[in-house]
Amino acid sequence: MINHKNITMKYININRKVTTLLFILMTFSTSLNAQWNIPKEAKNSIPPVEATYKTVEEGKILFQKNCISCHGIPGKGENNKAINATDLGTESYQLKHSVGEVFYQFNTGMGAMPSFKNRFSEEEKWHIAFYVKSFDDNFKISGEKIKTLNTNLKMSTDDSDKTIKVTATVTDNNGNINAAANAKINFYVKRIFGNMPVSEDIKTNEDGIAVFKFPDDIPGDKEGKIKIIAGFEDADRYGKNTETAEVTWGKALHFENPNLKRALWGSNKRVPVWLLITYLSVTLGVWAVIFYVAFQITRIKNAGK
Amino acid sequence: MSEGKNNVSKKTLNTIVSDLTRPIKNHYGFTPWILFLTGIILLGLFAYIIQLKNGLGVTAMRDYVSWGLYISSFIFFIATALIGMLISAVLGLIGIKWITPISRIAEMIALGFAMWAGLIIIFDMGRPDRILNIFMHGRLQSPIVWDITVVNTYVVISILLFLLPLIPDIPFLKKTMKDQPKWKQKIYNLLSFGFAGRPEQYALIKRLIRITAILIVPVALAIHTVTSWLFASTLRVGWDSTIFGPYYVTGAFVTGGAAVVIAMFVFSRDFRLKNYITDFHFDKMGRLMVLLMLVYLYFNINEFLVPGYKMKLAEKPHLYELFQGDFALMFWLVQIGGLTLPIILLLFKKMRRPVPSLVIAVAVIIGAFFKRYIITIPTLLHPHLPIQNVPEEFSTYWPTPIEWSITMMAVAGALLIITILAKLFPVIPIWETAYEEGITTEEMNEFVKREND
Ligand code: HEC
Repeated sequence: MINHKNITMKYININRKVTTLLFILMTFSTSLNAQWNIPKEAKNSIPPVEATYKTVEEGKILFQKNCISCHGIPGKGENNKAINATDLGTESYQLKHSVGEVFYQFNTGMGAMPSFKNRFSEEEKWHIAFYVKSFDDNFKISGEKIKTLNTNLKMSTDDSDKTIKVTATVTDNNGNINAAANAKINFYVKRIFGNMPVSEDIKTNEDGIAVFKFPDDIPGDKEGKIKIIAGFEDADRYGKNTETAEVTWGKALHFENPNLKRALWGSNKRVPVWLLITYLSVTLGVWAVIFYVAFQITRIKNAGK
Repeated sequence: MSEGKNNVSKKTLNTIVSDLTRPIKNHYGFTPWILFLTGIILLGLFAYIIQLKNGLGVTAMRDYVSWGLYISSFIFFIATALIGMLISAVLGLIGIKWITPISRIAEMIALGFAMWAGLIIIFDMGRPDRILNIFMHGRLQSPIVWDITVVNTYVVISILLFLLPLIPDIPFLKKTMKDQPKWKQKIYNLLSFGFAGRPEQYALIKRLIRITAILIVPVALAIHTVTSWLFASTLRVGWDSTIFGPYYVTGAFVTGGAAVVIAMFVFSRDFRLKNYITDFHFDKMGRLMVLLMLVYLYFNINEFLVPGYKMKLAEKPHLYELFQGDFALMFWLVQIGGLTLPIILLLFKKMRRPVPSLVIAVAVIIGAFFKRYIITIPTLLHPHLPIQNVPEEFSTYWPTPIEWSITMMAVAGALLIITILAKLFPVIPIWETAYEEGITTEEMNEFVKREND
């Protein structure tokens, strides 16, 4: 079983390789010694929305989509050191920055840190700032803490039209099993270096059922085999459980091994024919003359006798 | 040889034979010279044993500079060996007469240096026994395999080209060397191949010389072209060049030419052969050197001006390092002191006299040695991926005393081969010299027989 944490971690890693490359370039092009210059008003600005467990949760989803590729999950040291992205969960960061300052920083951007000014609504931006500050024990969050529900996922696949059906249920405190309605389900395809998300915005209906039509253009292995993973997007609320199924819906991969044909880079057994002929004819030709001359030397004695 | 005879009157066969065989019998200063060479070789052997025991870690070669002094010496040796082909084959085939007294010298130099070139490759291996892997698992696609093939072929052909013109000299040696040790006479008997001066025998030998001389031209071109491809078939800065083949071949002629001039000087003085290797020959060699060096200079200009004009990003640090960085002093000394200045000087007739020729040739050959160093090492210090997270020493290279000792052993070894050949056989062909003095083969046969009675 792969838990949700691992899925996101692997996802971070793939993304990170790409972003590192891009932003190493960006950092070089900007001044390395730039300093955050946060105005006083930002420090004391009062959020227009309330920080509740629900809004922190909203912020978390946005943060995971937009920020972890560089910063990693706050407090875990997963930040991309190559471009000097800050781990936003450390005490030293949290103590020095109010929620208003966090908002200002990612709203404005600096150097390799892009500006997110026009990316989100004002409200969403505050949600992100709340999430970042949620790693500060002194930051007040009102409302009720979200409890993780006791859920169960069932997955079935239909080869005829390449659809996957997921049925999600919730078991309440009394042992009653109910449909988990309106829960976001993510579908992934397993790849060597992590899990590749293939679905967007799929939610369970009132009966707890989500159906996903699998795309046609996903490459599989040589036989087209693919591993599909489904899990709740909001793992804090619904749990980290996932379901896995193997199907042969992928495009069969045709990989011609370049080492198996005669080529300059091949092994000695696979030397190109033209090279073999050239080498042998030149070498044998020269040595034939050498042997001829050597043989003739032995005949000097009898010459003219 | 009439054009070559300016101040020397006609020689009789008697004087020719005694002049040319005298150095074989006795010769002042021979023992100290042999002791000197043997001393250097013993020191090198000692260094080599240390290297065998402790591995290549005793050299300055590390992960980046993995070709050091050994490989640059290897190219230098191959380069020097190429002169045999130019002088005895190319110039001989087109009928140039003045090479008669120096063709065997050129062939001896070729033999000495070609044989040790092969050994240097072994010195460069931490595990010399693995040379067998080339024969067991070598890939025909690899220039290393071509190199091993062509070096061995060249050595064998050089031996033939040395032996064949020697055969008609053997009867003279058999006759004059009666007072010499038995083993020497055995060698002469062995190498005479029953030659008795019959016209058919002369004809056969001349034909074989001709075949071998023709054969050695493409093989010699191949040997140094392949050596250059060991470098040019990579993508590395400074080696990734389409003119490396001719660049190496012409450079080789310059190196070997200088070696021949030095050998001419030593033999003409030390063996008292001034009447045979005359100022006239030094003058001719000087002119030949100017031609060879001009061609080489032309390739040098191409090799540095064109990349220097473009300054491709990857090549920039390499070229700057050569032009004005750590290697600048060596680079400009080699290019100016070892090439440009010698060309200018040798344009003057006075500079083509023996002593100035010698000085210039020494400068050229030292330049040639370091030229190979400059081709090999700076490139390795500039890999395409940056050198990082390695010990400090990995990003520099200067040969250790072990490497110098082993390299000097190779030089001494090549000189030893030349010395031994010069002490066994006349450095100037007797029969060809006599022939050019107008002495017929019948007269030569008679001479051999008469004294035999
Ligand atoms: C492309 C990589 C990248 C992405 C994506 C990114 N950041 Fe950053 N971020 C950086 C870097 C690099 C810095 C450090 C800038 C500096 O101090 O030079 C930084 C700094 C910050 C800082 C200030 C940290 C400090 O040390 O003062 C905050 C807050 C921040 N980012 C929040 C966010 C948020 C929120 C998101 C997502 C909406 C986000 N970042 C997305 C690269 C990124």
